[in-house]
Amino acid sequence: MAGEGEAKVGVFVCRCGANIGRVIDCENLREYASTMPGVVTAMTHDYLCSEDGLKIMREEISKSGADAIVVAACTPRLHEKTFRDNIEAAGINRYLLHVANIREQCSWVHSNEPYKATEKAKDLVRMGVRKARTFSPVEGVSVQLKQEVLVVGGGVAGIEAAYDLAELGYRVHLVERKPVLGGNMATSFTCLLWCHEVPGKFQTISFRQGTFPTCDCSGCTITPRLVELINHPDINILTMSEVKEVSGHVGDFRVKVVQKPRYVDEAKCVGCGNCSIPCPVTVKNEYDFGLADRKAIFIPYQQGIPRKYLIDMDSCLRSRGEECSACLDSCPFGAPDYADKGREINLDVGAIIVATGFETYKPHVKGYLGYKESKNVITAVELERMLDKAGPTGGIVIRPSDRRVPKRIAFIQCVGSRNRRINEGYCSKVCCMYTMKNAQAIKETHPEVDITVYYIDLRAVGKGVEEFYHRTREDYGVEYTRGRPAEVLEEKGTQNLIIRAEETLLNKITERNFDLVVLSVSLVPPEGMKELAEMLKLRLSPDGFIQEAHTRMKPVETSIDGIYVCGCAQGPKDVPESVAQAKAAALEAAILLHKKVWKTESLNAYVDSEKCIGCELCIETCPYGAPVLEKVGQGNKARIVEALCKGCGTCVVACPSRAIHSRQFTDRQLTNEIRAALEVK
Amino acid sequence: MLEEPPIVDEECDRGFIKKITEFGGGDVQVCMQCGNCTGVCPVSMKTENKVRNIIKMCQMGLKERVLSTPWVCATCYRCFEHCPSGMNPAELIVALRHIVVREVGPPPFVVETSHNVADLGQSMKLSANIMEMRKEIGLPAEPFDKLFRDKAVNDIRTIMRATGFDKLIGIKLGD
Repeated sequence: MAGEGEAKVGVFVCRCGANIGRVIDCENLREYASTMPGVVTAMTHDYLCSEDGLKIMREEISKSGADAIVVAACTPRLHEKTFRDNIEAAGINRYLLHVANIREQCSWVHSNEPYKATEKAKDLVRMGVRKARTFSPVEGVSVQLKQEVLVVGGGVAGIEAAYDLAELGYRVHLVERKPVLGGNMATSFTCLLWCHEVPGKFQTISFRQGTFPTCDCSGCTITPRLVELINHPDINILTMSEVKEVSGHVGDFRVKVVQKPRYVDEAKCVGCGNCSIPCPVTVKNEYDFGLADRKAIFIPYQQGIPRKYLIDMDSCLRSRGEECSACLDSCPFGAPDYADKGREINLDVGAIIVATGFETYKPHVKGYLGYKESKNVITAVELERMLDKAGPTGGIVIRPSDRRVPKRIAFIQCVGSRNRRINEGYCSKVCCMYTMKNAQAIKETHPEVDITVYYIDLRAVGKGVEEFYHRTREDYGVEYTRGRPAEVLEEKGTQNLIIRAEETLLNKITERNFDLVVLSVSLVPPEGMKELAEMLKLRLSPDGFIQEAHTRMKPVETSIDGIYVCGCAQGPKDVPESVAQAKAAALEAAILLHKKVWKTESLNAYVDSEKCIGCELCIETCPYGAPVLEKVGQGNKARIVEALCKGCGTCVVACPSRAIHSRQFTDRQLTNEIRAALEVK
Repeated sequence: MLEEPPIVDEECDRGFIKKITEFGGGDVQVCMQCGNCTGVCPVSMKTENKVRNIIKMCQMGLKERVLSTPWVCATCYRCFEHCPSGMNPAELIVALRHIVVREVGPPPFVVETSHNVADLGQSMKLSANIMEMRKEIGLPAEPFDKLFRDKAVNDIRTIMRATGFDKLIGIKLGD
């Protein structure tokens, strides 16, 4: 082991093909480095990260006896781990490596000044060498991994991830906020259990509405998986539950889950529905957007899984002090339990998968495109409830104002998306397709209805989707008008709607009359997303969804080790994509957990407890929640939980008593680096 | 038969977009041509060059074509209120007016209106007809008394001199 200031440094300069070599005189740089004190070898290579480059590097290390390495190449964000692994293979502690960035910070930005770029590269290498000479080995931290996983969200993404992990042999806790599983797919958004053949002209086609592009019935698609899920011995399903507190780190997350009272014993309830018949309370069913009624004891939808009743205590007579027990009296199993207080569950898991899905945009201002001002302006979600054969209207589309079947229907696209006034203006990706699906569904049952779709740009991408679009226009005769509607005005008396819009392809302003207007609302982050992200220390992207670790290479990892994301929690996407992501997230979690022990990769900070005054500034500033306060003797001292620390250095700067140090970035090492930078050549 | 030659590269001045920004017209490249502005525009129905078309011409750099368009806008800002891209088409049109006046010269009605403002403090002259009607219903022929008007005209002229408006339009203010 090399003592401070005595290390023998090996310098490896990468030409990165022409990326660096075309601008920087690498041979000159190599010669310069070889003359520096402490440098035992210096060499160049065309591609250091290649198999050949790595091999030569290992050979050179053992030949020269170098015990600290400086690599002059691309950003450490790309290949730091590659080179660490390589020097470890050559027998050197993996943290005795410095990467001097002579690509992004040299050859790329100074491509028109090769001489100066080479001089800057020399400076960067000199700084690296000076720092590397004072390196001391660092032992990584090992963490035991709990073989259990928490999946937050019971939509299609969450259940797929949960199922896959359980099949791989991990114990899975599935937390769902709603009383039923299946999320948006099984409930409102594409919930159309419509397996019957429709009467009339299209009788020969067994049309099922649900998911695009094939119009498979979403209920039929998801229900078998849900049944497998509730019967799986390794899955603990917690409905009506929310995550309230999270602490700990990868391999050992402590999670507090709060389950709201259902007032019906899940173990006893068989879902027969005897209880809701005598219930004297009738209110609008919020799960049907008020299009139908429900009792105080109810199930949200007929096909909901688990099929367990619940009591809405806000509307139940007992909440007003009345001694009604109609449901308990009629239940053959005595399932209603008025004293249910809910419960608190503490979990200890090794990994967390966030699959909290989305909500649909609610037109923000009353009267925006006539919504909530005109009865006959509805959202696509409300339309889909109507199209559900088991839904409030039995699969018939009606005008809410007079319950007549409409003759002319308009769809307005991009409501809540591609609008920079209300959010980042992102595209919701699925609305073009769900509108096609809804239009086809209407045409199947009501072939006489005229349908017009107002759109800005049509985004029908993906396997089979272009064909789906063609079918919508060609086989179903849906008309597409290019132009964002300016106004939706209600006609007095008829309560019809007049849409004023430019038909941009004709360069003409149009004013057309419709019976029903459907707003194709966008997908937005669900309620509570911010709070959850804060709890888990996850970053959100500007659109409010969870930011993945790397858009291309780490699509389901997050900024926190051991926490993965899938489905619409990461951004709007369709069912096949959500399922693919869920399976990827499950696999990532399994890759982590099956090793049983996890080693940190980042260089972490540590506290010199003699100097620490317990001021808690580090706790306040750390973006990862790594420092904790511990009682030591009389006072409190901070300690860095190494498994959480990413080595960002924020606490080091914040600490007023200079008690925190970052490994490989100590004051002495940084001072050496700065001195080398300012040195007169 | 409609004889319309195709738009060719020579017509497209790509530097025009930058010029618009310099004159306060904002970034025309954020427009996605959805047509919402035209739909809400009270004058677009009456003209061939609708707001969206004007923006498109700017995006393509069709400077010669677009410079004949910007005078019908009432700057009511309804387009700005509705634009989902957060653009301000009314300000774009004002910027185009600035460019026209500097590069082509002000059209005759602008010169006339500007003279009216410089001389009378209002954009339109009162016709004899209107003065007669005012008298018939018991109002003075002119709406403002001379003292008030002189002061307003004086202020306006000061502003015109300070901003260089007089030279831009070619008004001789005296002094």
